[in-house]
Amino acid sequence: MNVSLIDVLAGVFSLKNLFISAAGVMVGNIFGALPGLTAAMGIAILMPLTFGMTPDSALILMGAIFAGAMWGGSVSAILINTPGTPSAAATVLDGYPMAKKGLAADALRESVWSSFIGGILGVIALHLFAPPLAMISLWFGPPEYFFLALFGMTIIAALSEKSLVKGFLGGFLGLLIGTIGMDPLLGVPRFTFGVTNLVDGIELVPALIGLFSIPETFEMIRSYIKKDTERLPSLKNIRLGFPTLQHTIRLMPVYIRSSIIGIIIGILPGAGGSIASFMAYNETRRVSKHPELFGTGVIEGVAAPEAANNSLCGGALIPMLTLGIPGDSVAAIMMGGLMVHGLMPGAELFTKHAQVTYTFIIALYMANVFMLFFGLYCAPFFTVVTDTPKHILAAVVILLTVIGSYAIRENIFDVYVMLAFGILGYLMKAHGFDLTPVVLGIILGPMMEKGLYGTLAISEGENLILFVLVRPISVILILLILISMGIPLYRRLKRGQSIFDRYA
Amino acid sequence: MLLDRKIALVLIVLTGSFYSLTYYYPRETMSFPRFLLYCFGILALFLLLFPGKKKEYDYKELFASEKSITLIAAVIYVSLLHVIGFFVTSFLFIFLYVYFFERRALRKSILIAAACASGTYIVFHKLLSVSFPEGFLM
Repeated sequence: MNVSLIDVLAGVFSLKNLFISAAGVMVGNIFGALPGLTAAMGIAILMPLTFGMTPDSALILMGAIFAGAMWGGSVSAILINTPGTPSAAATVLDGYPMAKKGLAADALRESVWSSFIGGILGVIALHLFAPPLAMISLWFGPPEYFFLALFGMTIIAALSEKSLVKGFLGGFLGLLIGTIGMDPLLGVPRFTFGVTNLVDGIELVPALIGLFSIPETFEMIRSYIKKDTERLPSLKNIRLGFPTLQHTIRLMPVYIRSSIIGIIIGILPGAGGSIASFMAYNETRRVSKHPELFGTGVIEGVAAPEAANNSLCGGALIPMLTLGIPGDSVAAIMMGGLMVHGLMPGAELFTKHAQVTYTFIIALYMANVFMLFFGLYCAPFFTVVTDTPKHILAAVVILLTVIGSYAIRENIFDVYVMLAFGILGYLMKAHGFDLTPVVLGIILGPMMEKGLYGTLAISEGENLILFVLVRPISVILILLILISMGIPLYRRLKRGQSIFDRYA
Repeated sequence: MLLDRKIALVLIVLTGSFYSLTYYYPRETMSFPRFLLYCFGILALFLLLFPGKKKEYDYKELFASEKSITLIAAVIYVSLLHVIGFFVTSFLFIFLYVYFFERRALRKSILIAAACASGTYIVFHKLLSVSFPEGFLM
């Protein structure tokens, strides 16, 4: 399908979509800046807003929240030593020391500017790599989908630095949850316990809303109980402005290196902003002429993680849009939103629905421009919002999660599912389990099972190993699986750690 | 006993229970779930044999009264949505919840509840045509 550039630009620059993009960035900034609220949560609870929108506007809103939140987390990281989102965890290392030295404005300006550059580079990567990858996905058959899902699951080995076993337990729990409902082979309902609403399986979006929003609600109550009164200091007297050209040229190697890291980490299924930002920080420190200064408040220590975590937005959307594998938990929620609008990830997004997809991609550039503008000129607004008492926020979040869960199928059962997953997520987090592997498992489980049965069916009794090894994409995926399993295990052994878990 | 060992025992029991359930279904449909349950059980065994060092969990903090009240309030709220109706139930939920935490500031609680319930009703239901649960009231 030929896409008309004029139509795409008309869609991007329509007043409606510009307003949606700007509003989304602002909401994302707020969700990012408030510790306890995350980008995933923001998209999850605002998803019902998108149900009445056209698909392109819905995607623009979700993408804008994603971009805005990735920068927003740096505000609290710099000002109160508390990352607003996990992806801003590395920004704390030099951002807060800069603020303590009276350089808060410089740190905030740098975080906005490097986020902007990283975000733009991420969208360029999405623009360049997603369409050809979507076409390659046409060559995927059942074996490829099986190994792709398996590859997605093995990334848990790389992610679960703290607890490998708990990471895999979460992943397998997600896979098991994915088996609830109609079996793909015989159409027999499994694990439904006579509940008619479970015959179609667990609805993905309410499960994601519950997993990402309800535990954070309890976290808000926890900080209310502990009377965590840490609030963002007043930003009224802070004046930010554009950095100089000389400064930008000097730091360009940092921006580019960190953005590439962010894009690659974003593409890896399940890898999040915190991994990207720490990797970028470590790399920048490693190649710096003065690595000993990192941690004392150097500008490069803010630029690197911020460029990485915003470029991750574009990277995470590449596998989500092309292969249906979310590169990040936020991309997982966006995928749910995509499917609610009847759009399936894959080649169709870039052919039949190309108009929608390219409008979304071009609009992401605008979202980064809005993020730059709001970051540089609207910073004082943050303190108004962050003064909202936590218990009121918690009540509003519960209200919005209920709306979000009900509105998908107008079925109250989905609200019960949301609540059940919320309680499950809270208990899991409290006992040291990460929720991203669970989400990965729920999404990839059906793909894995269908791929497995499809492979067995089309192999028609041939030697399965030989059948798979003559398919080049399958071979590449098997190699990637071995590498993704092997590297973290090798790193643990090299550090003298047990490959089984022991952690404080 | 170490915390992870307790978690592992619970998971092993759950794995066994679900595995026994698989015998109630046709064998062909249960191949994949059984394989997953095997893996889950083996991982739970690893956790039992190689636990972390944490000895106890602060269950008082996990189920602190404010959190328990939040949970109970959310469950009752969701249960009554389809009975009473979205607008009234949401208003009552937010009013009682804020009233409890604000130490009985009546006027403030009513204002916040009215603003939140009305705001979401107008924005989502009227402007965006999002459906809400209906009951015998609004």
